Amino acid sequence: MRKKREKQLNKAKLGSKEGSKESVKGPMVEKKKETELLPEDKTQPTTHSTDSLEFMMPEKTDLKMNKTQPLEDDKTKESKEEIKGSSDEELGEVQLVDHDPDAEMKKEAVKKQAREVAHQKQLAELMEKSLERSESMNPTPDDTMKNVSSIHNESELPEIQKKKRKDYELMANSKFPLLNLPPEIIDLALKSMDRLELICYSFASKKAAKQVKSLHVLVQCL
Amino acid sequence: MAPKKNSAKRPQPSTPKPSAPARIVKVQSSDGHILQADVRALLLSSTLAATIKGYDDENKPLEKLEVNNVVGFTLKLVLEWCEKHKEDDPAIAQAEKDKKNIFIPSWDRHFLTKLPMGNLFDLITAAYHLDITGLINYGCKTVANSAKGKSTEEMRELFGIPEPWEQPSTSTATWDD
Repeated sequence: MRKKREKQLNKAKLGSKEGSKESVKGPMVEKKKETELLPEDKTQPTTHSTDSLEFMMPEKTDLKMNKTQPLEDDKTKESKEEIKGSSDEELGEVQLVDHDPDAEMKKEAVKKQAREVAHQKQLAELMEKSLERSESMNPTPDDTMKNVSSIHNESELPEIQKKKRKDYELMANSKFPLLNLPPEIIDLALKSMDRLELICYSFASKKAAKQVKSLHVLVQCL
Repeated sequence: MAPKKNSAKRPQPSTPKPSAPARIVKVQSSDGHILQADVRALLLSSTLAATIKGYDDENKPLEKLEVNNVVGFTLKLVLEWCEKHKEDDPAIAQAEKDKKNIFIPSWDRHFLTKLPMGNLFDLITAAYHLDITGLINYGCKTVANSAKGKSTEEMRELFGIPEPWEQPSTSTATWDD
């Protein structure tokens, strides 16, 4: 009987130990569940403005640290700040570069070049303005000589030649519609032409060739 | 003194006729312009001469002659030429008509060459309608002189002849026909 009672007591002890073990395993399962739900938290909007994965890393680390080492909050905070600092350095291009000792020299050189270019432009504009003023005030001697020579040439020509030139221009500019004249007048005009002009005229058109043919001009020799 | 070669070709200067009292007649153009001219100048035109003769035969007072075919500007030129040649014998101009070489007097040459080609065309057309033989002769000779030394292309341009490819082909005739 005693043995039976001892066995029961041992079983009861063992059962209590297992219960305690189960009670200990419970939070671990819950933690596992939380870890499984973590990826869903990534999709949720965060307070950070950036979307880069690198920037999300500290949150992961925070969560892991909170899960695994809840007592080491201070250390995690420090590590979090370090990680954030490194991420900021990675994002900004300027911040990534270390302080350049020659940057000031470079800036000064660029400024000097810009000043020189602006000065050259101002000088060029001033030169152009001065040239324009001089041309407007004093006409070049070539132009005056041209004007004088043209006036001189015009005055040299006698009035008769001027009139002849005008007459010639008038004659040359206008047309004489010979084919619109009455046929008798055309024949009369063609008869008073020379042979060579008649031949040239006959090549002008078929109608002209017929008109010349109708004159019955005998061409004995050229 | 040997006689000049061209003296035979030149028209004989008109002999002064016995001075008759000047008879001025009004001439109206197609566009309503009224000009005044001597009857002797108007007699150079065969058409106007026949009209004047008809009035004289019927003893009607000749107040105004109407010229329906000629505009005012051209009629003025015609009357100017007729006024200059009113002493000439019309028979001389008639005799010159069939001649090939017509001598143009200096005044006529200057008068005709100073005109633009368009006005010269109108003047010759008016002379044809009024039947003024002397003016027709000189006008045609001036036209012939203007074509002197010109090529076919230049003549085509001067006389307003269209290019061969621009002319409408009315028949299938070729150059050989």
